[in-house]
Formats: sequence, structure tokens, C-alpha cells
Amino acid sequence: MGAGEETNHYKRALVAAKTAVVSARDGLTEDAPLPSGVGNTLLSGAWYCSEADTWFEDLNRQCDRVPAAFDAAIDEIEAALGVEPDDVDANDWRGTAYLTRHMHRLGMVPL
Amino acid sequence: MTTVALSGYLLDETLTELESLASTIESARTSAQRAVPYQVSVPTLSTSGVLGAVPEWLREQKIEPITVMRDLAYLLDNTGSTVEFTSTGADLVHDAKTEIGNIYADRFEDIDDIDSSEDREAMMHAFEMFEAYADDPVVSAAMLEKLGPEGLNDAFYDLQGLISYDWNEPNYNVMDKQEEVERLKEMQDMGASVLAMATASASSAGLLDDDFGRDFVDNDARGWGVSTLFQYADKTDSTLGTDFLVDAGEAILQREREQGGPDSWHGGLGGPYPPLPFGTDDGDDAVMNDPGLQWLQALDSNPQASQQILSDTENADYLLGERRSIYEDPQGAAAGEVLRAATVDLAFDGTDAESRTAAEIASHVVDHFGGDGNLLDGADEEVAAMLSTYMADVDRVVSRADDGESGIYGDPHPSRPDWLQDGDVPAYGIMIDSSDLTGLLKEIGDTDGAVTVLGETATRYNQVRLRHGTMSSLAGGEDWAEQTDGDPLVKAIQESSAFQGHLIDALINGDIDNEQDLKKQRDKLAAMFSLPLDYVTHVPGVGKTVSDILADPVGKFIFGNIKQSATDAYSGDGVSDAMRNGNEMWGTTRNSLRLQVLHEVLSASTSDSSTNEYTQTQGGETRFSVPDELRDAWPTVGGRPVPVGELSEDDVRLILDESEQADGYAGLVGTGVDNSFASLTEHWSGN
Repeated sequence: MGAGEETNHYKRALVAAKTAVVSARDGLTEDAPLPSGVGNTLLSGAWYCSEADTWFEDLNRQCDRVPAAFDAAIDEIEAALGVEPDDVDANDWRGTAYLTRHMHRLGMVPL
Repeated sequence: MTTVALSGYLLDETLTELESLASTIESARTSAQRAVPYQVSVPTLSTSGVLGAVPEWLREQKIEPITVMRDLAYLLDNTGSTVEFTSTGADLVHDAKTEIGNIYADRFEDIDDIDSSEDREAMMHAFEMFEAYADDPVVSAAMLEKLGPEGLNDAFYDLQGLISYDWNEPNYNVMDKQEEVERLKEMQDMGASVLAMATASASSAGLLDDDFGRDFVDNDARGWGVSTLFQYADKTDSTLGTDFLVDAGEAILQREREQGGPDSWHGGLGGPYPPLPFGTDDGDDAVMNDPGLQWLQALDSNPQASQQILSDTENADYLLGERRSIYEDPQGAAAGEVLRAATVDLAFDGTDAESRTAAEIASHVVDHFGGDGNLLDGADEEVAAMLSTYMADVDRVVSRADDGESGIYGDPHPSRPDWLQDGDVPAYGIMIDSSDLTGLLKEIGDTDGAVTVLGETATRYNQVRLRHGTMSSLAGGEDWAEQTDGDPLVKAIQESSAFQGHLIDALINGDIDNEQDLKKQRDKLAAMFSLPLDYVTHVPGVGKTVSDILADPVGKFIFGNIKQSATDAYSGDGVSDAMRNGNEMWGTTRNSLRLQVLHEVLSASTSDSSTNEYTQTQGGETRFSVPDELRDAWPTVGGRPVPVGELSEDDVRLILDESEQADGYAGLVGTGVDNSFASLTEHWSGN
């Protein structure tokens, strides 16, 4: 960090955001594929016929959209991250000012 | 054909898993969205993005198909074990719903098999489940198709027959008979409610057979089942379909015409039928032995069906003028509500065809009941509301030009005042023969509520006319000679007082037998015509420029509250009390108009020219000269005179006293109103 520069806290927030979104996405399928709970009840005999099969295919298609949506969000965050420098000029909104405002939003410090 | 295997128990688990899946996705989306700085746009994480849409889709699937399948499974086997049913394969959910409807029809057919508390409990549980489907037209139509009109009637009688009212006990053995009777009454309410709701949803969707309504009535010689259906449709706020209401109604009316009116339902060779006790309600909410009356009370929630019935002039004449039921007090009230639905509800807000039909019905009512027909007292208020809807036509005929004939018109009437625009009046107006109008006003003039509705609308109508006159005079677009007949304000004062005077004259004319009656009647009318002064603050245009005011739509102000007025009871008002106490004479009415005019003149003349466009001087000419004493007598807030409704009794007395002595417009108010009331005074005083 050069003289008159500050850490880019906004960039750090983006890194944390990416981690959070990845974690949210992975948490959904950590134990099993998304609709497996519903699928298990159907396999047990809750509803059995060709229409049930078609409906379960629709359900799978809907569930497939979920991780893809998180991936799209991760792409957006990475794009924003890519243009951010590690350090910014003193008094830049992304520097200490960003950290202060962020902490204020969390109720940790007054503005 | 497809065989479908279902397990109620396992489908309950499917529902749980679906909700869990939706919630998991929702909370993952929320935690991710919270972590992202707002400076970054991530549409897929918002509620309107994919991650908001998927949980919504999952919850929709819970309702259909999963809950439908689950409920069908339990109806086929209440233990939740695996069951099978056969679908056509075209639309599984539709087939499942049809099957549910068929099963409920069987349940209703089994009502008379109930012979234990356990049976009764099981039936109540079935009714509870069915309530969730009563709004579903597919399930309801399937159930009613299987029951048929006769089965629907039987269901009501079977529900009724579960209690022996001679002994006030169930028709089966049970330990606590009184407790069981109370539970059975609750079951009667539940059963009748779901039957009425189902009939409403199926008929509104047009899924019942063409003759269902007529057959339902024709199958019920006593009419009690018909009464019960309509009573519970009314109780559950269920709107029955137009075809069903019209067909059933035509059958009821035909039967009454052929067999001697409403008495035919509860009379006959065997003497009057005793009313059949049913459900938990008694008194006014009990089922009456009058299917025609119960039908009318359900009909008014469907304005289109109301129009179809009253478009037949034979029906209108019978229902509003001849149908006298021992169950109705005052007689004609239910038919009046139907008239309101057919005219007031659709004259402004209906389609072009509905507005036209509303005018045709209104025209016939004026023509018939203003002529030879006698209107039932219970319909007076609603006829007043109907007339109020066509107040511009009433004003034209009362004050300016007798049409000399009845009928309707579509294009703007040639003599429509320039302050009323398209949209301020119904798309179709009515032509009125003045003798019919006079006759009709006499008919309704002895009913307080009717006079209140007319008085309120007429006063609002006048208020807008006076405001327009005041603003037009102030604008001075033409070189009006102040205080001559050409001045718009002078004209508005003359027209308003003439209209009010003639209207009261017509209302009072039919009901005066002696001097004492005369005084009572005029006091009552005066009080009622002073009622709407509280509304002065709501006149369109308050606080706007002259051009805004002249362009303002006034229809909603004048006519917007007619329906409400027709249903509100007259409860008195401080201003009319103040004026009445101050004068104790017929001048209450005259004074109310004077206060209206004075408020307009003061509103236009007391404002500070530096902050408001209203000024005393227009084009170098002082147009509204108001004496200081009068100006001081009227309290102001923010430079504007307070609304008439906020004046105290002392304020009113002082203002009227000062206006008597004033020159200019303020003085003209007194003399103008007085002159226009001269003929009325002569009539009242017997000179």
C-alpha cells in the first residue's frame, strides 16, 4: 500500500460475498440432489402413474435452475471483483469510508 | 385410460418435502443476497428472479396436483393406504377433481343414513374438507351433476330431518341428546353452506345444465329447499351464476303467478306450512318459507341477473308493486335492492349495453309507478337512489322542460347544462314525462330514507352548479353585467333554488291531509334537504385554479355516494339542528341553500391575491363584493371560510342575519333564493 492509500474494503466485501453465495449454493446439495426428498416419497408409492413421472421431470427441471442461478450471481460478483484494485486513494468511498458505512449498517458504529 | 396409484399417507410426506424444499431455497437465496454489496447487480438473487420463482412454483404444486391427489386418496381410503383410480389420461387433475365431486355427491346422498354421533362426526369432517373445494367449479359441477336438481333439494331436507323438532332431539339414540342437537344444527349450517357455495361456483362458471335452476325449483313443491339454498348463498356471500339465478327466478315467478303469489309457498289446501327449523340461526337470519323472497335477497349480488329479471316489465311491476310477503317488512325492500343492482350499480360502471338496460329499467319504473302502478313502500329508498342516478334528467324535467314522454337517450341531451360532461352522467339517460315524475315523487315522498337520498344528491348537484356559476362569473369570460340574469352566478342561484323548491314541492304534495301534517312534513323535508351541507368541503375544485375547477369531473361527487346513502340510516346532523333551532320554521331549507351560495361567494372572495388565484377583482372590475360584517361573521382557516358543517349555531344565525342586510351578491343570495321559493311558500301557506 503506497502513501495516501487505503485498503479497498469494498473488494474485501465482494470476496466475502462470493464465499457466501458459493456456500449457499453448495449447502443446498450438500447431502443429496435437490428434489431427492420429494423423489423418495414418490418412489415409496405416494403417487404412481405416467403423469407422476412427467411431473417429477418438471420438478427436476425447476430444481436444476437453482444452482445455475447461484452460478450467475457468482459470475456477477467475480466481474465486479475483477476491476477492483487492492488499494484505493485515501478518502475513496471503497476505503475506510466503506468499512465505516458497512459497520454502521450492522449497527456496530455510529456514522 | 390410466390407472393411478395413490397413498394419502405418503402424499402428506410429499407435501412436507415440497415445503421443505421451497423453504431451503428461499433461505439460501436470502442469506446470499444479504452478503452481496448493493452496488453489485445480481438479478437472480432477487425475489423476482429465478430463486424467487422456483419456491413459488413449488408451493403452487402443493395445491395442484399434490393436495388434490392427497385428498382424493383419503376420500377413497381414510387410512391413507394405497388406492387406485382410473383416469381418462387427458387431464389427470381434472379427472381427480371430478372423482372428488362424485364422492361428495355420494356423501350428501348418505345424510339420511346418519344414525350415530360417529356418523355425524364423519359427515362434519367431510363437509370441512369439502369447504376447501366448494369454490372449485370443476369439483362443484361434478358433485351437482351427480346429485342433480332433485338430489340437491333432497340434501337440504335430509339435513333438516336429522332432528325431531317435536321432541327437540336427534332422530337416533345418543346419551346427551341436547348436546347432539346442537352439533347437528352446526352440521346443518356447514352442509347448507357448502352446497350453496358449490352451486355458486359451478353456476358462475357456466358448468351446470341449462335447466338446472328451473328443475331445482320445480322439484320442490314446498319451496323450503329452494329457500334454504338462496338463504345460505346470501349468508356465505356467494354470488350465484346469472343463468341459474334467472332460470330459478323465472320458475319461482311463474309458480307464484299461477298459484296466487308468495302465499302459495306456505299456504295451500292443508293450511300454512309451519316454518322448518334449521341451523343455528333463528329470527331474521332463519330460513323463511318464502323462496321468492330468499331468491331476491340472493339476486341483488348479481347485477347482470338483476337486469335480466327486471328487463321483463311484467316481472318489474310484480316484484316492485304487487308481491306482498308476510315475511318481509317493509314489503318490497328485497325487490328494491334488486332494482338498485340493476340500475344504480350499472348505469355508470356497466358496459354500454348494461348502462342502456339500466336506463330502460329506470324509464319503465318511472313510467309505471309514476302512473297507475303502486310502488311497495320497501322499495321507496331504492327508487330514490335510482332517480338520483338520473338527477340531471330529473333537474331538466322539474326545472326547465317536460320531455312529455318516457324512453331513453344515448347521445348527450341537447339541454344538458355545460357544467356536466360525458362521464358526469350515465352513458344513457332517461326521458321523463313530468306527470310521471310528480306521481313517483309523491309515491316515495312519505319515506324518510327516500327523501334523504334525493335531498342529498340534489344538494350536491346544486353545489356543483353553484360552484361552476361562481367560478364562471369570476372568470368573467364575457362581459356579464353584474347581478343581472345573464350573470352565471345569478343563473345558478335561480336554477338551484327553483330545482330544490320544485323537488320538495313534488315530494310534499302527495301526503298532506291537514295543517298539522303540513308542518310535520315540511320540517322533516327541510331537515333532510339540509343534510348534505357537511359535504361542501368535498366539492371538486376546492383549492384549485379556476380553469382546473371548470374542467373537473363532477359526476363522482354528485352521484358517487348514492348507493351508500341509500343504505345509511338518517341519523341527524349538527348543522340542520342549528338551523332548525335558530328558526323553527320551514326556512331551514331555504337557509341551507343560502349558506351554500354564501360559502361559494366567500370562498371566491376572501383569499389573499398574493397566495391564491381567487381575487375580488377580475379585469378591473370588482365582482365579488362582500361586506366586512358578513366576511367577519364567517370563521376562516388559512384565509378560507370553514365548511358549512363546521359552523356553530351562533355562526349560522349571525351569517344569515348579516346576509339579509348585505348588498351585491351576498344580498342577492337572500332575495334570489326567496323569490324562487315564493311559489312554494304560497303552496304551503295555502294562499
